[in-house]
Amino acid sequence: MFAVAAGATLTYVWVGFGQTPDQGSAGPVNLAGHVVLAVAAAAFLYVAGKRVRLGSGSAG
Amino acid sequence: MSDQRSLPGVTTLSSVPGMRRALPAVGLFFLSPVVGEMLLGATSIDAIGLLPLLALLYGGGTLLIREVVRRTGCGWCSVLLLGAAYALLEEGLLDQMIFNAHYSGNYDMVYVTYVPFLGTGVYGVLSVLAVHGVWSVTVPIVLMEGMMPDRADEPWLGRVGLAVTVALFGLGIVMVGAGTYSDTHFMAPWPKLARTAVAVVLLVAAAFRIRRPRPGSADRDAPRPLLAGAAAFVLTSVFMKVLQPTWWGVSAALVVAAVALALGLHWSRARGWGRPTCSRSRPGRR
Repeated sequence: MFAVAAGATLTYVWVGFGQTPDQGSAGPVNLAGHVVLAVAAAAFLYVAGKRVRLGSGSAG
Repeated sequence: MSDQRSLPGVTTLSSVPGMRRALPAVGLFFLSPVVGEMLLGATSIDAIGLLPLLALLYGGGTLLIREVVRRTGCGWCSVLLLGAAYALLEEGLLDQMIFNAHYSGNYDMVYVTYVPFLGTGVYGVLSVLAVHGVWSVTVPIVLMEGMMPDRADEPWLGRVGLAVTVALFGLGIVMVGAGTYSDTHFMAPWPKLARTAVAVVLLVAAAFRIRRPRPGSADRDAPRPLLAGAAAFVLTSVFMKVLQPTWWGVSAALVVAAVALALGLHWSRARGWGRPTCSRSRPGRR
């Protein structure tokens, strides 16, 4: 299940780069924010993925 | 977590027993709007000050859904159905985005792919069901449980925490509902709101009726995590790409969603599928 959620999270990472925000400013600030969020998401998935793998080697 | 250590003489949030117990709940409370709003790109980083307000509805709702599901022993299908109910509550009854063609200058979710019975467009309904049901609710729950694997099966809130979460969610409902009306002065006709409310109730009822898929009930092994993750990435990416405000776009997205659901159900009955921590986690209080 974690792997499926991780895949869906990575989809939001690339989708977010193409969105025009409803709240907050667009442009360079928004782009920089997405870079930060993308790195944070990757770090979160890496750490959680390691914890999950330690818990079990099963799928999902 | 058993592998976390505090330095001698140093008091951290996670070293206080009550706070340590509440950490995953607090994390999920804020992770839900971060994924559902900020990672999606609907809220820019310079509007991060809105996060606590967004968390009242997103985080309160998601935390409540997880808590109810874990306490009742329901499964991931129930999480998805409750996530869909949350989507219709927020976008149909509170900010009423799916009924207000002028809600945003960026898109019109009402008159494209309009269906008279729905009182809105299939594009809008499908969009909110996907973004909230999958990404605002289900994905943050799975991610936070992945971060806290030892506690993935158990409730994260005591009685006080549950009461506080209900209160915060209620506050979020009032603030989003009243705040949006104050901004837009839009109120959908009552038959549309009534039908939406019925749909919310039916989804909640279905969440508690649906049978939990039994891992291992099918005579096959679950896919490797890399394959499951890659398939999820490809299918959700194709879904987001093809979902356009046209009948062709909506039809293609529905096909992709059906394939993803069928694959998920197929895998969920395989040996070794489920929360990856099931082999060592403690049973929850149910």
